[in-house]
Amino acid sequence: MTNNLKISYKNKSALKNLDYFSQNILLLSDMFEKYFKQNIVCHFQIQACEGFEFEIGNNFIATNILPSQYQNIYSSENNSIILRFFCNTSKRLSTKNINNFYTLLKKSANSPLFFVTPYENSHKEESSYVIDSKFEVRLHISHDGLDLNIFNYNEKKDFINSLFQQILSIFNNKSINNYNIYHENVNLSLPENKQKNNSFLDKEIIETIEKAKDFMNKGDCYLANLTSTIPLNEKTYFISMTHFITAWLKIKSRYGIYYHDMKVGLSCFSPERFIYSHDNKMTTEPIKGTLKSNSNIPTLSDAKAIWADKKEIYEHTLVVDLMRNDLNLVCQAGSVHVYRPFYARIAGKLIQMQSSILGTLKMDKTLGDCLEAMLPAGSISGTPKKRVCEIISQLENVKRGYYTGICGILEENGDFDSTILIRSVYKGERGVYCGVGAGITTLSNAKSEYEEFLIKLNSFLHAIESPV
Amino acid sequence: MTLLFIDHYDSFSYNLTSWFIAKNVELKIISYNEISLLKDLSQYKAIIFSPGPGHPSEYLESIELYKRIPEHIPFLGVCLGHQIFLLAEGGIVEQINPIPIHGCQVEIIDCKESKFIKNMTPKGSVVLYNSLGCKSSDPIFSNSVVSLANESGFSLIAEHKHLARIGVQFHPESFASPGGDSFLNAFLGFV
Repeated sequence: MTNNLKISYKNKSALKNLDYFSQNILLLSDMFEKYFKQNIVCHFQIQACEGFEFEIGNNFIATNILPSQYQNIYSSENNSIILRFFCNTSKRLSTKNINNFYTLLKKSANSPLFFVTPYENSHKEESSYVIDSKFEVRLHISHDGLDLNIFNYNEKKDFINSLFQQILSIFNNKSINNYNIYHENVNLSLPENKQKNNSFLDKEIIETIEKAKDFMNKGDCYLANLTSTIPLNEKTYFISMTHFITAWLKIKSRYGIYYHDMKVGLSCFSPERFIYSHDNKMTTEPIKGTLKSNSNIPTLSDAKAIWADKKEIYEHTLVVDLMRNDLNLVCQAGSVHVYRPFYARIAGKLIQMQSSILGTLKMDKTLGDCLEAMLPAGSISGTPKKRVCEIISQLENVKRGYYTGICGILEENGDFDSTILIRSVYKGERGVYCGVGAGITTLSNAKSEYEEFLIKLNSFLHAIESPV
Repeated sequence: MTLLFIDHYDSFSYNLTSWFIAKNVELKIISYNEISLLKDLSQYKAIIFSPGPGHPSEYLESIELYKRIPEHIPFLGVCLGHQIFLLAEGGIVEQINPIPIHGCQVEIIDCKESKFIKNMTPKGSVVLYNSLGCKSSDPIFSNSVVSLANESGFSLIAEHKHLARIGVQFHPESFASPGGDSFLNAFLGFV
């Protein structure tokens, strides 16, 4: 690897440097889009994890100190931002047979693989797909500056060298701050009848929530995530990569993931990691509980407000036990630990309650094995999962499609990361759509659940609608 | 020493099985739909019924299995397992509250000593995930079963009067049950 570019620029934080380099990133994106058209995947991640630690006391078997055997799990992560552009991609697999998808992800790969799979009730409607690439342009942004590397998996050297020269010219251009990227003017809004606050909260939703509560009173389940997908006004239009990146630079969601071809598309602003593995140590970081701060940056009093909400704590407790159970399916007995439970993570103006559950993979367990054992993800289904999935299928009148599925990257060495597909726009068999949902428990109030729907929806949709 | 574990398709079962496996206990894990395959129960050192969804009366095969357990083999039922135990002994299992709350923690106070297992009282709070329960005023508690601890009028820990059979309504395997570990250790120590 010889193509390396380093730009030192000290700033208060990696996020500030993301702003500082944003024009370069957009120019890069614009260039890549012209070169690779639909043969490119963006996978961005903000690794900084800021927020407030919950005081565990003697109330939970958990720790706020990373257990010693897991010291290395986050070692490749720090307070930086990683932007990965997988270029000259090709589809390795596109299938409605989920077993073929798992089988492929049980094997090792020669280059990182990008994978996407819908929620389980939609396996027969939407395809699971796996994409490989000929090379990768990886940007690493920290408070110190930017580091760009090209990883060649199977591309002609000459091409990479010439591309690198063009990349250099983008970063050497001092006057870029005045450069205006072309933007499509597009209105990706919800259909009008869904826009007004209370029309969305129609009788149907209240009835569905009440039905779910009936199941819970009878002991059939304790927590059910009920969702709905909504077709977008422009059924065939899918935003361009540069448009997506412009929106992401504004939203700065933990993950920013984009792919688009003739058949499928994904523009993902998800805050939630599903499973991550490094050196056979793994973690899952479920989110349950969202609160919108009245201040620009959430404060400790916002964190205290969410911890004081018993419904949120109970619901989150259920999800942590559920994810411990699911990790125990693929991890060595006794290795599963709860780390930083009920952490009030700052995500823009929102507080997201998040816990980490750590475990050591059993011998020879691969990404494919983990997905096969652990999907659908606990935080978007409920408990007990098997029964609750039957209830979800019965109560939800629209299939979820890609919404609440997962996507991620499998590295050549077997490490992986994955993201829950929420707060995203999808393109699939039914056109372009998005989804929203909320966890329903016996304590749920239809109106406040509905408000949570809206907070989540607004957290990304507005930014896509007006990117500039 | 092998313990038999019956899984009623719960999403917490593997937290419980992993607790035992981590203690180097050999477990035979059987799903509810495989119960008919079980012939000889006498080879097991103990039998554990997992939590699970729904009403215990829906689990006919588990009720039958419970009735087949040889008298000398200790039994532990957790949540639904506790309810199957009480139902099989003649108790009534019903909704505990107009709005059952799942995930809240309780402290166990006033716990009677077990006739069989020493130091079984959970040391610390435990978590409840149940919608249903068996009232501590149920006639079975003046017959074959003793309720060792109660919560809001429902049995939290129950024990057979003459046999080493224990049911707990709480989830000892939960990360929200700091008292669960001492309870499970006491059970394992007895087995």
